[in-house]
Amino acid sequence: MDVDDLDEWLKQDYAKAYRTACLVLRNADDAEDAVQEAFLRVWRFRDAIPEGPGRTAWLYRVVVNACISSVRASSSRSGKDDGADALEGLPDKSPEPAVRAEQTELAATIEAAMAELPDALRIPLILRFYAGLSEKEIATAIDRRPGTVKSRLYDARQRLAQDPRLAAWVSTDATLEASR
Amino acid sequence: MNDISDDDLSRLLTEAASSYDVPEHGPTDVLAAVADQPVRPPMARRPWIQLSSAAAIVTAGALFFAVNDGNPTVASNSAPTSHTQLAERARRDALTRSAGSIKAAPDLAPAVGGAMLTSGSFGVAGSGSAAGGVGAVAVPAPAAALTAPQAPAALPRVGAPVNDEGESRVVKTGSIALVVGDGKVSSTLKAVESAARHDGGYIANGTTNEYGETPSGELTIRVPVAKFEDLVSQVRGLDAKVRTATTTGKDVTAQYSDLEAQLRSLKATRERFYLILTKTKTISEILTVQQRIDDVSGQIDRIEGQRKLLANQSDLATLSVSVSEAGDPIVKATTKPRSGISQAFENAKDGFVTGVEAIISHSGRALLWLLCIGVVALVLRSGWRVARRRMV
Repeated sequence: MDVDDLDEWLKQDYAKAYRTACLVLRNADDAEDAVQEAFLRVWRFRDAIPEGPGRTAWLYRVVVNACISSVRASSSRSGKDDGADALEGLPDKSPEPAVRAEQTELAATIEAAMAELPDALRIPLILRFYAGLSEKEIATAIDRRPGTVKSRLYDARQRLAQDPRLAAWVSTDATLEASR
Repeated sequence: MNDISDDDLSRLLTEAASSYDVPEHGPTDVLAAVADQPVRPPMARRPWIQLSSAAAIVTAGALFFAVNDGNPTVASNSAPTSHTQLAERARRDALTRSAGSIKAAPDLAPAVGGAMLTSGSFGVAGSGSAAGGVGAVAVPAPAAALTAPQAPAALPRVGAPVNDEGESRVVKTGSIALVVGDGKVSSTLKAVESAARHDGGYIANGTTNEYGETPSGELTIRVPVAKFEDLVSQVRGLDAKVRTATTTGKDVTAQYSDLEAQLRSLKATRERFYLILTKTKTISEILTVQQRIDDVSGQIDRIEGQRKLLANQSDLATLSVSVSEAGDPIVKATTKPRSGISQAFENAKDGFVTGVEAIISHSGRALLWLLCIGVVALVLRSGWRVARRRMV
């Protein structure tokens, strides 16, 4: 892989990798650093990059590891879990149109609900439903067995479904029956 | 059951993610950082690599001559830029580590660290000093006045594998307690030490107690197993009364051969893993194979340790010699004859204690018998009542 290939890869995957890191870290600055570090690691180990469809899972594994390193570095600096601080680092967006305000509110709601989840559940959920990885790819990305990923995804969904802030999106058996 | 559909989850997470604006300069920054990556000099030119390599080569050479088991440990470092090189490096690391007693050098870890390797067991390379040569005998320092001389050069090489003729290996140990006259403890200990040296042995441990009115001393002697009986005879022949003397011998030839067979098998297994390692293609495969190699190396180290211990014990016999004066309370306690009345009281006390112990020890069984008899009696009584009613 040369610089042109890396440039192409960045164009293709940088945005998604960056936003994945944002969701994991809940801090734009840390996410930017983590993704940059991830792509630097990709570059350093460019000879080890697998060919074919496994490349995406490999990239996200590097991204997740970079995020974990970032969290550990932050924790060691502050001496505590900086999850709350990270939330404060969300980009300050002025609610210009009403739609934008509604979207921002929705984003804040889902992020707040996600913040309640432990990393072990949150990261597979993000990789599955935002990054669009398959369960097998997530297993590669987080270095766990597919069965573990399946179980964690199930647990994460159940917990989100119990969150009253997301009640509007929760489908019950009754509503499912009615929709039929 | 409540649930959120896949589509809703995707929509919600996409919504949350879209609240983060992707920095336009992000990819450019990455490319700039890539361009800023220092052109690392060839690893062979780095001073610490040179030092580590030199140390590894010297250590490996020393181990090769000491062990002579044919493990090639000479390593030359180069930048791990491909799977093959990473695998080769991991193989060399494992070889160097398993060659024996080489400390890990953590400063080498970052050389192969990285995203995929942070959770792996990479980063250990041999560059430390060898902790004790193979076959060296650990000689603890004496606790008191006696100085323990170093093992003489004439000692047989401890830990040498069983030769092709299958020499037998016997672990011999013994202990002798001598009682000497007043003021003769020190001279007797010196005589014992001299006898040990004469037989090619050495003092592994020695203590003397010259405090108070009853000086005493104790020596632990390691002597070539062939000279063990001779040493025992010399010690018994000293101008001292032998209070107790015990010697034991245990044939461990079969156990030793079994350990050697296990070692050969495990080394062959490890060689096969090394071969597999050179054919690995992904980091995940390398880590998996590396883990297996580490496991096997751990087993080899453990069995090698057992083999060396057994070899040491069977090459050098151990004899403990204690010397005390006749006035020593311990000696008095065991040698002074009792009077008849005193012995009678002692016997009475022993008899009482023994009787109480017997009652207590049998009480459990007696209780069980009583319970069984009681249950049988109840059953019989109930059966008799039922039978009597029927008869009526």
